[in-house]
Amino acid sequence: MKISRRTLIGTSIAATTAAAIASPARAAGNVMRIAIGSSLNNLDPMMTTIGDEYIYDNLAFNGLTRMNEDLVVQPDLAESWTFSDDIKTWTFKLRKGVKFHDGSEMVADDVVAFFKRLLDPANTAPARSQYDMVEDVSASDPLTVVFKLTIPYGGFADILTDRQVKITPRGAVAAMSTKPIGTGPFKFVSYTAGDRLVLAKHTEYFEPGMPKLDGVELRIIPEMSVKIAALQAGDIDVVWDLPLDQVKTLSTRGDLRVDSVPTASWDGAVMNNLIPPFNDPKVRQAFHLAVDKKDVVELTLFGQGVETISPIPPSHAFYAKDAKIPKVDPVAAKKLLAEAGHPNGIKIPIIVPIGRPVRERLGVTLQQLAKAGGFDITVQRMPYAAFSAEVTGKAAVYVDGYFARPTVDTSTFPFLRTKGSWNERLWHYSDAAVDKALDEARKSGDTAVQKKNYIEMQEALVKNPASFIAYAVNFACAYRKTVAGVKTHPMRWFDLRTATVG
Amino acid sequence: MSVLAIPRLHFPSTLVLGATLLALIVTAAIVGIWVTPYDPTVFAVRFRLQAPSLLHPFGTDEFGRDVLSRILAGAHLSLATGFGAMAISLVVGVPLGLIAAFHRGAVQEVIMRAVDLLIALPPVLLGLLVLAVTPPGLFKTIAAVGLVYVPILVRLTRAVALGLLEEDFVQAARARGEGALPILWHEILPNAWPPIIVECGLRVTFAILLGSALSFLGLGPQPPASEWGLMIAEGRDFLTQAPWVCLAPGLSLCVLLVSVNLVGEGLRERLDPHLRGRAHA
Repeated sequence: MKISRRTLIGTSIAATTAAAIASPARAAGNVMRIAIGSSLNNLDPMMTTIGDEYIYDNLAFNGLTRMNEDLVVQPDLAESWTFSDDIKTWTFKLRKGVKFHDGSEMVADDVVAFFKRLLDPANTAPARSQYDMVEDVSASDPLTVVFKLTIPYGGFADILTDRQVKITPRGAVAAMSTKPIGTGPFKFVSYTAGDRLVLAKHTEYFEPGMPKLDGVELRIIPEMSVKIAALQAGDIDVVWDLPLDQVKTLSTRGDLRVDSVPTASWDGAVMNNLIPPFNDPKVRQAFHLAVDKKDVVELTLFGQGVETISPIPPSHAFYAKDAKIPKVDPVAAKKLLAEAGHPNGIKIPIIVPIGRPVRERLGVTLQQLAKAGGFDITVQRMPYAAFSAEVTGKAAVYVDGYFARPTVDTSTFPFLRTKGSWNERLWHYSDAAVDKALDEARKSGDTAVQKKNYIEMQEALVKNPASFIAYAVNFACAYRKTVAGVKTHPMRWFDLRTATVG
Repeated sequence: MSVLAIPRLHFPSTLVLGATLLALIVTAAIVGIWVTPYDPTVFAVRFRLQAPSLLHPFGTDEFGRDVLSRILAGAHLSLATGFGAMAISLVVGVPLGLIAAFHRGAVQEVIMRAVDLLIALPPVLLGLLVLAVTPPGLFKTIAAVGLVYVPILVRLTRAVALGLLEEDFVQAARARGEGALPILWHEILPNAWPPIIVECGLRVTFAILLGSALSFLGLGPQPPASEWGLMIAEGRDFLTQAPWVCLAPGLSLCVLLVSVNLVGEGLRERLDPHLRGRAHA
């Protein structure tokens, strides 16, 4: 075959142009760069514990079910599911032909192997305690997984949306921490602590036409002012977890889109129900009479949040919007304190975490607002790292907060049920009406029954508050206007299957 | 004409300038404890994060508190940390230095090795160590910073005293049969204090800075107190949108440090015989 000079030149030009177009486009054009705050400590999703890691969990992996931005539970690796009449046996039908990043096929054995690994106490998985009702998990055929529970549990499909409960290949456990493999829309390429995590498109992803991006980079930039400068300069496309005081300021910029969405994450003053003075319910009530939660939201969150009764946020269908919350009245607060044996008010230090600016601000806000109601508070800052050792369960009152959990049950039961796992750590609260409502709600698979019980729980909580749960805080992200197809997720992670840049 | 032969008191210009600035700051700090343009702790939500204006010359912070008022109300904390810490190091360090100089045996070894140990630790770390074990507060910060500068004064005092002990007038006192205390008190100390005072003047700057650094880290006075280091820590989150919340206390700290340093330098020029000679030459 003769190759003419013209064809040769033509082909080589075409080849060079193609290469020239292809390579920069892959590097910058269709890759979304997201700024996060801290390095990832774990690449095995089961062992992850911080919000920055949960973003990665949801990009590179899938669970049996997933939760969308409107908090609706949807099928993910499971196509459909059913439960027995006693709500103790759950059967999940898996999607066919789902490929892991290494090309192998995901089957029921992988799911079973993952849950066995999760439930083995020797593996110390952080989410294990939430699944202690699982008695047995088995594969009845290659695409069917059956869970047997020890108690009736109506929200089982919901808790499987959990960020740490992601299906991994049964044979690759040892490599998970260095070369993680999942089924998610993006696959792991490289990770450099302190710099970035690089993910590339999973070309065999099970949903056709997705993902649209060629890749995602999680850039680790601890300092917020640096992140914002990089966003404004176009060096990154998204700032994850924007400080709430920045929302209004950045919203005015034409090239950026700022999204602030309500979540179920909450902050509050944690009052130990075993240590004076907050062992007396009257003192806890007096504090609620002294401080207006509306003012707290404005002062602490710059208005980017909403006052709440319990960890159930007002944006949720189960919120008790008709609960009779007593009007804020400093005089009544003082009177109640006097009845409780504190005629001269209460003088007490409140501990706030250094390095958590919102919670620090909450402490100063409470110090100022509670003054009129007879609470003479002094603020004490303490490194957040020392909290679990020196403050939690030991201090009479301190400021802390908790991120949204996947279901109402998991965000209330452990915190408010007598002997609940978080209740035992935080405040030792016990109220018969709250216990009854939480038990009833958990036993039922019927939304109406759950709603009725959770509303009763909140009404009981108004009468006998466990602690000062101040507000449900918003979650905000800032995007360059070139970013499309992403909604800000109240659970603080991203679904980037349909996302595009530029 | 012989009357005019009395040496003229010479005040270096650095000393005059520094002392004037420092006097102004101290006056403002003392007045600021009681009187400020606005209440330094009361919130004003509608006026939060406002840029400097006639009403608020240094702007307002995230709670709408007037930054100028907060700086005035917090000035005495920085001054107290600096000068208080120096006083503590003086009271502890100078006697230890004198004792070490006078008793050359085991006593000196114990004192000087302990000093070596303290000097080996970085100042911030030493301060953190003291404060980490107990709940923080102003007096603890002062004590911690004071402790940091004890070793330096022990060494300096000992070195000066060692030199003086060889002098004839000290030998004469010994020959007269005077005891250790009278010799230290009447012969050594009066001649040793100029270098010590100069050293202190310069060290106050570091003490103020270290105090602010510790309270920036959360180990000083607690909110809503307006210690300058703490104000910088709190304002840091708003650096991009409201830089004045951070800048105002930062600049105030700067001015205070410069003025203290000028006084220190001036004292050195005034009291150091070598430099004095040069100034007249």
